[in-house]
Amino acid sequence: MVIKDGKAVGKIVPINLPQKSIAEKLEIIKSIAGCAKLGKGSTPQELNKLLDDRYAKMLP
Amino acid sequence: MPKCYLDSNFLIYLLNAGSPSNKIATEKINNAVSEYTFSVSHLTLDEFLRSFPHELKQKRTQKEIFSQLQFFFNKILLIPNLEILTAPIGVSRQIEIISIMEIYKLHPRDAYHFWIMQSNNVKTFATFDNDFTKVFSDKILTKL
Repeated sequence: MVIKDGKAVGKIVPINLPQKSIAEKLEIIKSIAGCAKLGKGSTPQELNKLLDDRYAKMLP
Repeated sequence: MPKCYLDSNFLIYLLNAGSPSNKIATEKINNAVSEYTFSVSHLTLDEFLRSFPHELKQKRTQKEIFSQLQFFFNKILLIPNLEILTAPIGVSRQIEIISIMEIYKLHPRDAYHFWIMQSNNVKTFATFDNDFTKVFSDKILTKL
C-alpha cells in the first residue's frame, strides 16, 4: 500500500528487476565484504549481551 | 531459489575486515551467492543499527557515528536481491511466539527471528549465534 499524507492512495506494483549474473553478484559482495576496517570487534557473545541488555531475560 | 536469512552478527563480521570471523563470513556468502537469495528482517536491521556503533570503538562524535552508520547500512542494502521479511501480522497468531520460545528454548527476540524464517519458508540461517542449537540439531534449519 502506498501511503501519502497518512492516507492510503494506491497499491505498490511489484517490479521485475533484472536478475544479476552470479559474477555481478560476487562483484557486489566483494565491495561489501571487509569494507569496514574496525579492528577485532566483538565476539558473538558480546554482541548478544549488548542486545540482551535491552530486554529482561525470560527464560531460566 | 531457496532463501538464506542473515543474522546481524553475520552482517557485522562480513563488513568488518578486522574481525576474526570476517574471512568465514565472506567465504560463506561467496559460496552461497549462486544457491540462495538473501533475506533479513527489521529485527536484523535493528540489531545491526544497535551493535554496529559499538564496533566503532574509537571515540566519535554523534554526527560521525550517524554518517558512518549510514555508509555501512547502505552497504548492507546493496546485498544482491536482498529481501526484507516480516513475521505474521494477524493478531490471533501472535500467541504462537510463546510455543516457539518454549519448544526451541529461545529468547523472545530469537524466537521472532525463527518465526520470521518459518513463516517465509526460509530453511537456511547464516549466524554465529549459539542460541539456535536446538533448532539446528532438530534439523528445522540448516546453518550456512
